[in-house]
Parts: sequence; structure tokens; C-alpha cells
Amino acid sequence: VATVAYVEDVVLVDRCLEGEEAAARELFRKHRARVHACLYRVLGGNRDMDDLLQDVFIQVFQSLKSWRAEASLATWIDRIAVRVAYRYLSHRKAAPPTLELVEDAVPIALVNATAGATVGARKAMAREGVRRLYAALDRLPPAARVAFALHEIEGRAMAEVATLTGASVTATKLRVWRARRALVAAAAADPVLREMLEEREP
Amino acid sequence: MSLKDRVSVEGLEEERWNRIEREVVASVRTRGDVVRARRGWMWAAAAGTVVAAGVIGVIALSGTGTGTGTGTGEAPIVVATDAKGTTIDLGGAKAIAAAETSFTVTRPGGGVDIVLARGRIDLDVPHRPDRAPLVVHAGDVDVIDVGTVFSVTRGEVVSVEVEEGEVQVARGGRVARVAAGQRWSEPMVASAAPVKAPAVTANADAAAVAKDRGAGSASAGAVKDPLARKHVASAPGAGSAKAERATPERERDEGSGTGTSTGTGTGSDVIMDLARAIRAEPIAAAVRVDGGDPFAAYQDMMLHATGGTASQGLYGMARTRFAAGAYDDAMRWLDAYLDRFPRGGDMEAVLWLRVRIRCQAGFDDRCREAAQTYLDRYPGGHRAHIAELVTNTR
Repeated sequence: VATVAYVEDVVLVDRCLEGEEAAARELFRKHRARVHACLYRVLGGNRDMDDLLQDVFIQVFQSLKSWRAEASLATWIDRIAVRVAYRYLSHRKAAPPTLELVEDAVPIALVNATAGATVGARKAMAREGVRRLYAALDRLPPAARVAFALHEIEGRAMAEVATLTGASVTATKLRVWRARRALVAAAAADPVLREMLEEREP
Repeated sequence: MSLKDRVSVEGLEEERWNRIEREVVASVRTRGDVVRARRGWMWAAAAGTVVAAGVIGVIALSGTGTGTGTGTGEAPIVVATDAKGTTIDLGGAKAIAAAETSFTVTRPGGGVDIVLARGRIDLDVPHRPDRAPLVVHAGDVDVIDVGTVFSVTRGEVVSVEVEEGEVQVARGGRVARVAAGQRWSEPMVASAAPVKAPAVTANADAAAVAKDRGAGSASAGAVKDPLARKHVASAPGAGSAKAERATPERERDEGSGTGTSTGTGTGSDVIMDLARAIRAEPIAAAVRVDGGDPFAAYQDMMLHATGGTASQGLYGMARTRFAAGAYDDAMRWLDAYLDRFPRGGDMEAVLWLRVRIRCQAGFDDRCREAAQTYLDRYPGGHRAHIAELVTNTR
């Protein structure tokens, strides 16, 4: 299956390089959802997403000639997406202020266990957990954040994260470990975040 | 639950996607001069990577090309080794390709079809009683296997060596069985499809096709085109040029062998005449290549050349496979042509060859679709009148 997809990619890229507009649209539609999910999980939302997606795909088409057909097109595009996300994180202005942590915030597990807790309440709690996760990630260096997001949130293997970020596997592991340590420290003072991270590793 | 499950991606509205797509495509359009550059090396790299990629993709190419689309999923996989050989898993069967070997792999009807352009392949094929056989084509030699260990070498001599089991070697209607420990070899002969320059092709093509059909001599000469006569009769004023064009050298009709027709029949007579008319139309030859194996030469053109030359190579591959009677293979190359070179210079020939192949088995939907495709693209083309009649056979 991988090879079929690969041969299709070669044909598609060749058509794009011929200037065929339909092929450009096809390539965009084929990869847009994955690129969007990747950016979303690294950045934590759709803020500036339109510009970022445009940036990624314009770079893709500008650089298409340099795609060496021995590598997967998806991986090649993802590398561009990761670079765009990294640059965005590095250059953006300070993150918008996050809500102060609420002292008596109700842990997620408690909400789940409470008889009569509505689905809506549980969803709201989960959303709050995600918001706090990204608030904590905002305080990390971009390289650590990107590595952590790709490995822990996107679920990519460490070696793949290393490939996408252009770092060694050792450096990638170190970045993920540092990010994890910082999150655990933040979670010590944030029961909602703690609940979320604890659920990750039962 | 992992963090991935907990961080759900909030989708974008379709309108936003459309806007982004418009911006991106507009950007591509304005940079067309930068982008537009065909790369032969990319296909070469693709071939190299496919060598490493192995079986899964090859097996996933299963299917007999029964669809009418032009998807590349049915395209053959081209494998070319450099100074180092390689081992390829063909989904149970193992192929060891020697250095400087090139071949293509397809999966017609669940079998495995290997067209060896040059070099040597050693194959280890598990017994496959319930599956279509694995066949290696080396020029006009077919080696048919249902489970054994053997090798095929194609150079000036085609040789087959069997280590375990038994294979059938078919050539020119003769079939030999080669058992374990035995070796079969015969000199390679020129391809069954002499390649001539375009536009003066009728005799060469007729010879090739007649030979493929076991019709013996290719002296078909002046078999008349019944459809052309019928067409002239039914469309006065429009047919004289067509009639003139239709009468010179035609390939031998494989039906009656006489090419005679009343030109007045209806129903099945008309269908028969139409079938003859399609067969009587010359198939454009591929660009001339000097010496050696045309298929390998065209394959090299496709892989390493750019622009029009690459497209001519692809048509040459299809044309060669057609002349050898490997119609499914030919269709795959033709479909690959449509995918890669939608504005290729051989397009009319490509579309007509699709009609010719699709309509061989009768006038079904696939045949009519091929004719309609030709008609849509070349409403004033040389064979538009035939294509139109085909589309009306429903």
C-alpha cells in the first residue's frame, strides 16, 4: 500500500511540476487534513491557522522541485509544516494571558465520578485541561514544545520526530524529557492539568 | 488514553478551506514559470525506491485494469537495478534481481506478471495452486510457473534454469517443460514489434499484429475497410477522404480473413463490420529506436528523458506490449500515459489504441467509454466516425 501511495505521489508531483492546476488542488486536498492536524496539535488551536496553512502549502509548491523521490512526500510536507510551526512559535508575540488557575478547580476524575455529572460538564472540563496543557507548553522553548507535541500529542515515534525537526534522536529525546519535566512541575500546582497528565499514564 | 485522544482537532469550515486553497493555487499559478520543469530523474529515483520498497506495493497493484479510469494504481511498477542487485519480495515469491537488470511487475488477475527487459532474475515461488501463475516474459519467451525455484536471464540468449519444481516455457506456440536440474536456452530474436518511424506504419504494424495472432504472413495488403464504405454510403459528401484513407494497406482481418462485407447489413452485420473497421485502422508506431530491445529503450526514455521524449518512451512501451499481445500491460502503460502526459503529443494514438484494446472483446461499456474518450478529445479526428459508431452500439 505504501508503495502504491508512493507511486501515486510521484505521478502527482510530476503533474504539479508540469503546471497542472488540477494536480495542485489534488495535492492540497490530499495532504491538508494531516498538515492541519499536525499544526493544530503543535500550536493548540486554530489561531492564525489560515495563514499558516497557506504558508506551508505555498512553500510546498515552491520547493516541489527539490523533493527527492526517494522520501515519502507526506514526510517531506510534514517537515515543512513543522518548520513553519517552529518559526511561528519563535517569532510570535507573547502568548495571550491565560486564566489564573482556580484554587478549587474540580479534578476531572471527580467530575467523572460524580453522579449526575453531565456530558457537557465533562467535555468542558476536558477542554479546560487541554487549554491548561497548552498554557504550560507556551512557557517552553519552541524546540522542546514542538518535539513534545509531535511525540506525545501527535503520537509520532521519536525517530520520526527527529527526522521532522532535523535534530538527532538523542537531542529529540532530551527535548521531550525536558518538556515533560516542565509539565510535571506545572501540574504540581494545577490539579486539572495533573489529572490530565495522570490519565495519560495510568 | 493518550494525549492524542484528549486533544481533539477542531476542524475548519469548508469555506475556510476553499479560501486557503484558492490562495495557494493562485500562488502556484503566478509562479508557474518557476514550478514548470519535468524531471526524468524523479522517475528514476522512483524506480530505485520501488526496488527497495518491495512486495506490498506490488501486491496492492492487484486488479486486471477492468476500470475505465486512468488511475495510476493500476500502473506497472518499474524496477531497475544499478551496479548492485537487489532482492524483492513479491508477496510470497522472492525475486533476486541481478545487477543492471530492469523489469516491470504487474498483477493481472491475481497473478504476477514480470516483463524482463534485460538482465537476470532468480525466483523462488511457493506453490500457488489456487492462484494465477507467475509469468516471466523475456521477449517472446514466456516462462510460466506455479511454484518452484528458477531463474530467467535475458541477453543475446534467453535462458531458463530450474533448481526445484518445474516450469513451462512457451515460445511461438511451442511449449517446453523444464524440470529441476534442467536448463533451457535459445537465442533472443528481435522484438515481435518492428518499430518504424511514425506515419509510414501500416505495413509494420500489420506485420506485427498478424504475427501476434499467428496469422503467418503479414501480406494483408489491400483488405478493404467495410465500415469506410458503409460510412461513405450513409453520409454522402463526408466520406470520400475517409474512404481514400481507409483503403490502403491494412492489417489482416482476423475474422473471415477476406475482409469482405456487404456494407448494407444491420444489427450483427454492422457490429461485425465495425469490429473489422477498428482492427483495420492502423495503430501509430512508436518513435524509432535503433537496435537492441525496443521495450528497454523506451523504458530508458521514459525514466531518463524529459518532456516529449519521455512521453514518446511511454507510448513506445505501450505500443511494444500491444504488439506482443500483452493487452492488459499495454492498457496500463496507456493509462499511465494519460496520467502523466495529459497533453502529450501521442495523445490521439494513445486514445485510439485504448479503443482498439477495449473493443477487442466486444462492444461493451468499457469499449464505448474508450471510444467516447477519443471522440471527446478528437471530434474531428481521423477515426472520429468509427468512434461515433462505437458509442452508438448500445
